[in-house]
Amino acid sequence: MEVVRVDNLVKRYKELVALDHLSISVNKGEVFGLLGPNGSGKSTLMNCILSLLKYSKGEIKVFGQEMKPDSYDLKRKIGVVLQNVAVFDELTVRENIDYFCGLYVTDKNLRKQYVDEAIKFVGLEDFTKFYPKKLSGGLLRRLNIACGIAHKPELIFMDEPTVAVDPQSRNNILEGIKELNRQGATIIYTSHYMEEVEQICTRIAIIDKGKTIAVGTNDELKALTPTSEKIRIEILDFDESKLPEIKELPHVTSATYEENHLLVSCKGGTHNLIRVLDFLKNNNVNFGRVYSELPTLNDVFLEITGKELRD
Amino acid sequence: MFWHIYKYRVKSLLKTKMSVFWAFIYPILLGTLFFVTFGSSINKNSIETIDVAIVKEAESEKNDSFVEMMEKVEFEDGKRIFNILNLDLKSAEKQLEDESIVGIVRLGDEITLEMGKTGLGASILKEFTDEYTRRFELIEDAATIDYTRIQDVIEVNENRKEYVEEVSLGGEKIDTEAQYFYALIGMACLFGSFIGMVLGKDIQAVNSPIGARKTVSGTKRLTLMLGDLAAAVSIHFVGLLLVVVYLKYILKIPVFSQPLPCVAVVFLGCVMGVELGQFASCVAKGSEGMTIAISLAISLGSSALSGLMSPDLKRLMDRVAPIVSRLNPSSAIADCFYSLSIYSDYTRFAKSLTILAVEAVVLVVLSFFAVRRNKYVSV
Repeated sequence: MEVVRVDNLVKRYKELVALDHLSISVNKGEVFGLLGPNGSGKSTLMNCILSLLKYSKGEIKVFGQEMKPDSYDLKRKIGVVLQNVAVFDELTVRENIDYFCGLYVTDKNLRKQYVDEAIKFVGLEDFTKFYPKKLSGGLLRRLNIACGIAHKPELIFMDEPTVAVDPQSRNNILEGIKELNRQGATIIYTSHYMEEVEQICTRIAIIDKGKTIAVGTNDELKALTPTSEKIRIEILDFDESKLPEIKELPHVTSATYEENHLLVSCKGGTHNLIRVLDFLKNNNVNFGRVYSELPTLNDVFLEITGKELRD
Repeated sequence: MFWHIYKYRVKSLLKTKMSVFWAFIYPILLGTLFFVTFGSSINKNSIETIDVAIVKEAESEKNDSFVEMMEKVEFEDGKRIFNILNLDLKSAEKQLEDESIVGIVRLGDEITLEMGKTGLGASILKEFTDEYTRRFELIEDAATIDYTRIQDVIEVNENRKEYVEEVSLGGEKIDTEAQYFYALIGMACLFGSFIGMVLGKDIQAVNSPIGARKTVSGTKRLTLMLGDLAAAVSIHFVGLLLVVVYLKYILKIPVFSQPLPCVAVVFLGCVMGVELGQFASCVAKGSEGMTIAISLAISLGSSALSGLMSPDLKRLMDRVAPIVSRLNPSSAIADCFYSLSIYSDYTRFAKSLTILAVEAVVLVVLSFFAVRRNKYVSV
C-alpha cells in the first residue's frame, strides 16, 4: 500500500530549481531514505509533502489524499522530527512532550501513557524535569524526536535527526527508528550520512540537484556500480610489471599501485581476496596490512554523478 | 485542546523574561518614574483643603452669602474645600507672598480675587468665585425684569450648582497630570505587543521551528491562535491590574475611580496590545526586525499621540486629525478613562470602548487570515 506518492514535483526559488520533476513513492512499513548532499533538495521535498512549502508543479498524495495545509485528518496520522530542535525552552522535558502530544491526543489518560512511553523510548527517564537548556546536544535531539513521535503516528518524517549528535546518542536514535518501524510506522528519513541510511533504510532514493537519480534497496543501488569489492594491500616495494598478471585474475576489473598500496577492484565472484593474496605469495611479494572494502552508496553516487556524496 | 494550549502557554510565558518584563516590570518602573517627576503634586492638589484669606471691606447680604457658601462646599470625600482665614488686607497680602494661602477674596461692593501662583487650588478658587458672581447677577437681573420668575432661575441655578460641584470641583477629576498615568496605562496595554510577537513567531513555520512543528500538527490554526491569545491576554491583564493596584494604592495616584468600567478598558486594551504584536508578526512573516519595528512604531507612536509625552499633542490630534485620533488604540484607551473620570460621559465611554473592541476583533480576524492555510515560499 502506497503511503506517500509524489509525481513530477517542481519547486523553484526564483531562478534556482530546487526540485526538478521529482517523483517518489513510499510504501507502508518502509523506512524510506532520502540521501543526497547538502542542498540537494531533501528537506525541500519533505516540506512540500508536509504542505509547508508552495511548489510550482506536480502532485503530492499522502494516504491516497491530496495534502493541503488544512488536511488536519491526515496531519493527525503524521509525526515530524525537524532538523532544527523545536521545543519550548521554558517547559521541562515532560511538559514539552506532553504539549506536542496534546496537539494530537485529547484523552488525558491516553496522553499520559503515550508521554511515558515516549520518554522511555528515547531514554529520557532521568531527565523529565530538566529544561532543554540543561540537556546535552544528544539528549536534546532525543527530546526533539520524542516530541515528534509521542502520539504514535502512522507516518513519520525525520529530517536529519542525528545532525551534531555524539556517536552513542546517534546509535540510540538509529536503533529507536528501527524499533518504531518494527512497531508499524512508515518512516521517511533524510540524511547526508550514507552510513546511517545504509544501516536503517529498507529503500533509498538518491537525490542530487533536485532530481531522483536512483531508487532501490541498498543492494539494488550497489549493483549499479561496476565494482563489488575493493582490495587494498600495503606493499613497500612492488614490481609494477606484475600488474597485468593481476588484472588477468578472475573477476578483477582493475589493478593499480599508488603510494605503497596495491589497489585491486573486482566485480562479482567470491574469494577474490584469497586469490589475490595467493598470487602475491606465489610471486614472493611481501605485504603488510590488507583491506577489503565492499562498495558504498558513495560509490553509487560517484558512479552516477561523477562526484563524491560528501562534496 | 484549547485549555491544553492555554495551560502550557501560560506556563511558558510566565517563564519568559521578555514577557514578564513588558507585562509587569516596565509599567511599574515607568509609573514610579512618573510619580517621582510629578506624582506627588497630583496627590497634594487633589486632596488638600485650600487656604483662602477673606478681607471684608463692606457688609452686604451678597458677601455674607458668599462666605457661607465657601464654608459649606466640600470635596467628594467630605473634606472642606476651603479653609477661610479672616484677615486684614496687609496680613493677607503677606501670607499670599509667603504662599501660605492660595488667594485673597476681597469682599467690597464687588467680590474681587487676588491670587499668587497658578495651580489646581487657584483654579478651583477662581472657578468658585466666578460661578457665584454669575449666579448672583443672574438672580438680580431676573428680579429686576420679572420677579415672578425668580423661582425658575433659582431652580436652574440649583442644577447648575450640582454640575459645577461634580465636574469642576471634583479635585482629582480635573487633574491634568493624571492624564499622563492614563496614557501610561494605555501604553502598558499596548506593550502587550511584545508578548504577542512571541505568539506570532510560534505559529508560523516560516518564523521558528516550533511554528513549523505546530503548523504540521493536527490542531486547527484558529484553536492554536485563540489558545495562545487567551493565555497571553490573561498574563498581561493580571500584570496590568497589578500595575493599577500599585499606582492607585501604593503611589496613591487618583486613577480608576470607577473600577469595573476601568477594568473592562484594561482588559480590552490588553487584547488589543497582544493582538497587535501577533498581527505584526503574522504580517512580517519571518522578519524579526520588521516585527519589532512594526510593534514599536505602533505602540510608541500611538502612545505619544494619545498624550503620553504631552497632553497638548492629544488635543492637537483631536483637532487636526480627529478620525486618526479616534482610531488610535492608545487614545481610545485613554479616552475611556477620561470619559469616566473627567467627563462622566458614558456615551463617549461606550463609543471608545466599542472602537477598542472592534479594532481588537479586526486584528484577530486579520491575523487568522494571514496564517490560515498558509504555505510558504521557503522555511
